[in-house]
Amino acid sequence: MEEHENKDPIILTSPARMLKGILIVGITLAVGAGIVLTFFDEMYANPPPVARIQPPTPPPVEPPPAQAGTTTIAILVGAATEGNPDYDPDDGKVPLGNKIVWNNQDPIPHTATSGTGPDDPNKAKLFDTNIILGGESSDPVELTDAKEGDSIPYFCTVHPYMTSQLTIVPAGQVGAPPPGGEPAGPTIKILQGSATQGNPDFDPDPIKVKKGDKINVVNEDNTLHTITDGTAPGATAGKLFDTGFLEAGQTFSIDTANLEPREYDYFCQVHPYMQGKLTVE
Amino acid sequence: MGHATFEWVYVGVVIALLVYVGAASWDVERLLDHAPPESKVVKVFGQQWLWTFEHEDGRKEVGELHLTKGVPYRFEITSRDVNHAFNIPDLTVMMDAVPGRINTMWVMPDATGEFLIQCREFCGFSHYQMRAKLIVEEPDATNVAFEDAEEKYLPASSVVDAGDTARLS
Amino acid sequence: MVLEVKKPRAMWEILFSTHHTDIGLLYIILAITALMIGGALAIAIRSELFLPGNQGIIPDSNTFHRIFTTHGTNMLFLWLLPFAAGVGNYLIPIMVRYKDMAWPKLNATAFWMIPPAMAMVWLGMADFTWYASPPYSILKAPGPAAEMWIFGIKILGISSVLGAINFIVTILKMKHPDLPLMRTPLFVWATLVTSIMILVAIPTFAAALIMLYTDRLGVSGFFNPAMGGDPIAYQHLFWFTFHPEVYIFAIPAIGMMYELIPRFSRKPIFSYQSGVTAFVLLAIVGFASWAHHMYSTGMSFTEKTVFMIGTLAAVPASAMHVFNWTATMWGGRIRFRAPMSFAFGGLVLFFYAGAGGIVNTAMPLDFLTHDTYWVVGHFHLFVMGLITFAFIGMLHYLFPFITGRMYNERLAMISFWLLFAGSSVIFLTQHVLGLYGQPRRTFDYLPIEPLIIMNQISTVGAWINAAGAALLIGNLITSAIKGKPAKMNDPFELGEHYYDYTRREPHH
Repeated sequence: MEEHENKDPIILTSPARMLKGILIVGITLAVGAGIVLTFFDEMYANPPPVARIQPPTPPPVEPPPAQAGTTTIAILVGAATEGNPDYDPDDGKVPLGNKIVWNNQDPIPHTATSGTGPDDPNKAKLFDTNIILGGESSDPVELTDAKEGDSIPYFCTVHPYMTSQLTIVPAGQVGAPPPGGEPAGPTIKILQGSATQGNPDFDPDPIKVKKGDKINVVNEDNTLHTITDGTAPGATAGKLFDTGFLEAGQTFSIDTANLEPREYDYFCQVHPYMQGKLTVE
Repeated sequence: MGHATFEWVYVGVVIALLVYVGAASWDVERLLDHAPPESKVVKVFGQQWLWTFEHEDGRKEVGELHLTKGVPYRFEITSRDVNHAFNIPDLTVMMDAVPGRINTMWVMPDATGEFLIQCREFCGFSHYQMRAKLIVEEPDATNVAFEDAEEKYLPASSVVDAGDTARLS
Repeated sequence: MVLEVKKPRAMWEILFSTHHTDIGLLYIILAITALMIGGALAIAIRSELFLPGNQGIIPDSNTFHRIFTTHGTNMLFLWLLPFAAGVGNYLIPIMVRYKDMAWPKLNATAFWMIPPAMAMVWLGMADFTWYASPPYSILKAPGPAAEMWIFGIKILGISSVLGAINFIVTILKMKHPDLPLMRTPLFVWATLVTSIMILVAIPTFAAALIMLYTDRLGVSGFFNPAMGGDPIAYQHLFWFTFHPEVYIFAIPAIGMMYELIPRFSRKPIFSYQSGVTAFVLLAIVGFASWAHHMYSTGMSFTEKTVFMIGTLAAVPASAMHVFNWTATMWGGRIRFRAPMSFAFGGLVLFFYAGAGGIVNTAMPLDFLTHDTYWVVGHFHLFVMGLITFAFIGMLHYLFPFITGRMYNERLAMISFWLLFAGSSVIFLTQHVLGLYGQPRRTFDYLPIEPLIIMNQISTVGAWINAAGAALLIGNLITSAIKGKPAKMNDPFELGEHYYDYTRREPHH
């Protein structure tokens, strides 16, 4: 062992050096913790890319004819993915005395259950549709003891992040929105919040229609949008179809009679990151 | 007695214990592995985050499963989206539900009552509350019990003595 | 024995150094930091599970999933592996009588890959459990957390492989010509065997990670049933790496026990050859048992039998180690200082862990325990009970050699008892909890009496552990700052029986 023994003097770690070391580690960790906490939700925000490439095709839905006094709410395709739009309309205005029916357009089962979530001690006290299988409609739900102005939150027990609410409005109010999920011919909705890049933009997307169909475009957002054929503003855009500028709430009808049967890309002129696909068969 | 003799004896004892464990496991697993041919088939579908079932006669159930005491059942288990695992703790039924694949597991319920069905493979947001209810009913005119069910389907060397399991419902 | 040569050096010299002692120290500091952070996450988990229902400590199940995924990933890849690499870096060149590792700059590279990877894993906080099983990880797990996890683990795997290559070449090629391999300490054998296992096992998972990433992008369908793939293929690839990986975690710890136990028992190792044999046997047979993690995926009876036999075959090797330690201690004048106490506690918990493992490997019993808290208790008895205790014991042992000061022995023993009691309570209780059927990875559980009580006991154990860990880290830090200077030729006062590396074993 002698020939390998190290003869250099040992110097003890000094308090100053130890503290310096602790500072190096501690400040690094504090900065790291700050970054983690700041960006915690963003790091988790996007659905996996593969989920965006192949959205499920909607099953053919025959919604029941809206009887007098029934409000219909649609459960949208893709609702099961957290962050996607779920109930439509999301703040259902129900005239006092109306029954409510939920149409499940998603292939996956859902429910509409009163309450704010699974931890709500009062959940399901006001109504509970129980499981609505894919493509089916719930039994009509009657709200006893509801008063005008009541706001009733509800959620899906299978996917509790799907939340929405009902607002009771005066009976027979003209402002009650058209029953959701009852398309008169194919409809493309420009969704609320679509102006923000990264938010869902068009619904349904992609959409398949038959040649000759008239597509009803509805701008549900609160700002101007267009649906213009192409992928980016430029000379080649809008040659085949263009809704022009649609104000909030405005609608437009795209006639596909003159469109060749193939796939078309479309986008919004005002917000070119909003992209969609239309297939004419 | 050499220096290493004790160690050899010790390793020999360990190996003997392991051989016993292996042989006993092999013996019991043999029985679990093959469902009796007369079992009734129940299709089990797991999806985020609920269980649905289909009986042989076409009856569908969502979130609940009705079985008859004394009847051997073969579960054909699959998933509609991600990995789940079909688990009835009180009947020691446990088998993964893998999409694109059908796994089978068989059991003969030997007691009536309500039991817990839960998911035992991480499947996302509501995995921890992905439950269903198993209701085992007495046999009657429509659901006939099988003869000598206890002797045939609960062999003496079975792993779990059904009367002693902790009921989770 | 002198390990550390200190001249006053600037801090950045240590940070940019390629000398093996400095890099070893950096690995150790990073690992201890990761241990403390991961432990904090564990306390959050156990506190949330104290009662059924949402306690508010963790706001929702998504956050819960992100926390336990990061806890597991962090503990395995940022505590266990770096600490073993750190102690290896520190000691191996000394033990083979060479001046440094074979490739010092590569060594530094392997270390410095870890902080960016750590940042990726931590910033993202993915939610798909540390297994990252498809189809959930492909089809449902949100990004960019998932991609960050994949890239972070990829980088950590590369770091591991580079370190392994360095160790193998150092031990086999840079060893002093007068020192035969069979006279090197058992820790050298442990590191050699571990490094070879790393080289064989890790590339499989590296491939699986790439496949996972391309599946997420949608350009491939290896594990996506909608594109013709098979989720179970991933599980085979994963476990082919990660079953040997658990031995990769354990073997350095076993090697460290072989350093601590003979020294503090003031006796040579009972059988050096048996130790070498057991290491090599474990390394080889460890590759034959991976699918015992997949018994419930629908494997055939024959497949399961094969893997059961493979698993059981690895048990005698571990039993040989336990025998060796016990026989070494037998009749020795044992000094139960902190390093020895931790090592002995590790031995006891190792025994329980192995016994529970035999239950899991029995095919029908696995249906009772798979994916329940039994498994959580079982593997934690290994990673906390055996591996972490051995590591902490080794840390205490190296402390005077690294810092020149002595830690406070009484505080260290109190922290040992707290950690031993806490770990036993937490993880033995979880075995029973698992038999009641509570699944793992659950944010909440049914509000029935037995489950509530056992969860509460487990949580109280976790708080005891937290106290022990706080005492431990406080002791180490304050002692490094102003502890008593240590007697460098024999800091633990083991006396004239102080076991010397060059002493020949009496029996061989």
